[in-house]
Amino acid sequence: MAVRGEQIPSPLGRVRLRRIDLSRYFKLDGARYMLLLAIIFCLLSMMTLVQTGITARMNYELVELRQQQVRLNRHYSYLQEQLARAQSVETRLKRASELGFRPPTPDQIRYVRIPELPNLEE
Amino acid sequence: MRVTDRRAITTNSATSSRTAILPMGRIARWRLQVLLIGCVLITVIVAIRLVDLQVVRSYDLARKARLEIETPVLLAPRRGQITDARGTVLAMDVERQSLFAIPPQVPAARKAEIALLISAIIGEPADSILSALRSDRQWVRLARWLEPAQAEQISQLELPGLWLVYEPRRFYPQGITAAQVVGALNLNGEGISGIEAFYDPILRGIEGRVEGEFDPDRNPIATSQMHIFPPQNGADVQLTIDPFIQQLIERELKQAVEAQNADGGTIIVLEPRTGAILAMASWPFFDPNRWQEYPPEVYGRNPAIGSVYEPGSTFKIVTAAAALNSGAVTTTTTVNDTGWVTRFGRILRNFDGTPHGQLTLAGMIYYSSNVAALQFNELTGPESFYRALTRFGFGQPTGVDLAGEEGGIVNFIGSTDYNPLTFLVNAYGQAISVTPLQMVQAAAAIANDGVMMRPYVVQQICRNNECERTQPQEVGRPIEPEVARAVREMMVDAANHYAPVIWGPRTGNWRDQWLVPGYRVGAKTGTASIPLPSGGYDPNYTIGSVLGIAPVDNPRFVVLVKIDRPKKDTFGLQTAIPVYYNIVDQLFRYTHLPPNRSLVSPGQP
Repeated sequence: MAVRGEQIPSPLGRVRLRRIDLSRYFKLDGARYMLLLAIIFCLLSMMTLVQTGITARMNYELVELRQQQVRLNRHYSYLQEQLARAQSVETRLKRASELGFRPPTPDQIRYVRIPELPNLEE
Repeated sequence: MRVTDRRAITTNSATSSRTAILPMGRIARWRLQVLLIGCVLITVIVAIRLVDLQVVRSYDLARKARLEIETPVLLAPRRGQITDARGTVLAMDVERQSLFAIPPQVPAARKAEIALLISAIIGEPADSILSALRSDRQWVRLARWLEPAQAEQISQLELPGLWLVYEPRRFYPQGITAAQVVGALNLNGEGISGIEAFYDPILRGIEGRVEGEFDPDRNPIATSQMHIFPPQNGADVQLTIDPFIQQLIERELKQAVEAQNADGGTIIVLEPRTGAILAMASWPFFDPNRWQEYPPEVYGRNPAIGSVYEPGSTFKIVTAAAALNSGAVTTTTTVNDTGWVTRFGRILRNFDGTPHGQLTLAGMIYYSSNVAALQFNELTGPESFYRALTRFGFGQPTGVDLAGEEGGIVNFIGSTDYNPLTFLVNAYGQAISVTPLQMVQAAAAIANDGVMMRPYVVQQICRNNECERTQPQEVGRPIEPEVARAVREMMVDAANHYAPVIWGPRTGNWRDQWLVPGYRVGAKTGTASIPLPSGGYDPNYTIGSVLGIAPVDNPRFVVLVKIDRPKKDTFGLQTAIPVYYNIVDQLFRYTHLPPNRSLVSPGQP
């Protein structure tokens, strides 16, 4: 035992002795609070990181949706344009002509006078 | 090995170990010192850099970062649509792809090939495309606003260094239809004519923006705070223009101008009770989608409101109205038309010099007598005549909601350019300049029993599903209702007087007859001389016009047909009368106005 005492420097021996006393070892004195704070800080950081990740992912989805909205708006605009072209009088006249319609001659027109309907509100 | 040696030394005596450690300690200290110096140097460098970035250049860098990250993204508003009275879109915003090139990214060996491919698709000369690709510029536009099919073709080729970028474009789906009314936008998106210019602030809308932090692609970074100020889209404008009537007058105008090789022409159809312009067209037409290909006087001016002319004999209805309204002349008052008269040393004559004897106002209009007109003006007096002209709105813009309206030129009594001869020739529409719309407005007052309405072309303005309709606005009562009715009756006889132009060749009846069978239609023709810049009048060409009211008993339409410098028909009437007839006849059919079968002359259907 004496040989052992000589081989181990006294400060290290004191530390080892303190480690042997487990209950005291785990008390950590003031450092345990620091450790607790570090753990809480890590947890909060993790939460922030996860939240940021979720937000960033949602942002990408939002950007994707916006791009989809732009694409749909462009398609809607294109369809409106096609509709406007189809609405033109020239197009309608051409289509009517293709279907066999012709402008009426005066003798083909009959005017019918419809008597004024009674006002239902009265 | 070094560790083993050290153990060996340290397990021996304390003296020997001290002796053995000393050289190694020196080395370790030296290394430590170098390491320490290195760390200090790095720390100093980092500190200097930190101070440089965070203190010295802090302001500039922060500003640059703010500019890059926090520059708001602008949200362009949608320019309002322009539609006709039936909702057909006349002008709308679309997005078209434009073709850009980054010349350094285009392989030199393929530039010629790419130029040929692009040329075949977009129809531009390959030479100009190749020179653009060989230029030393970093970003060059090869084609703007490609058709979707063209853009798709180019996209499928996947050519290196070429980019398709969406750009907003104002698109006019109906092309030339009502182009002078609708107008056009310049390349900066500003209205330069027509409705586009007059209603530019309303159509344009207000730009929006997103304030926050953005990535290099200008997408917002969601973790930062963001404020969105949405854009306010422009209001949609619906016109009073009826697409069928517009198409009708454009077709008639085109046919007449081409048949006569005329320089131009204008047709206006207006509803007299409200002042709503149902159709308005002027030749030459232009396509607002390609306005740059036309001269500025074509795309930038609407001749129906922006060009003045001497109205000629169509002005005699105003002379008659002024004479009756003054009280100095009645419907039975007569003057002697001797074919020509001398006033102030000048001979003033009828267009053909023919005398017509004693004429009432109705006779003056029927024969279109200049001599009678100037004599009636003498009876009316300049004060009453010009007072009537002022009330009819001549010499000032009508206030129509279109850009580029002219006021015309009238030498009113008391003005520096007034002289008594001018007053006399004004009676038959010479030495006075008016716009076509002013003539239509005056005729509309006669059609509307003396109540003159402000002409307008916008029926309603809609924003966010809330629409505000234009309320017809009375701008004066230049003549009494009885006067208006009397002048309308005179116009019926004048119309029937010119009916043989239509019906003579068809029925062989060259006598007066109903111009439009089944309806009492009023019209006054005019052959206007064209003043030359050097003085005097053009000896070769005239402006032929017809100003009419249809029907006269319950007026629905006022129509002006004006053909400029017809080459085959010297007086223009052989051209303008058939156009007027065709328009009125089809207007009655289109509006389902039943005819009166007792108003049909022999031989007419």
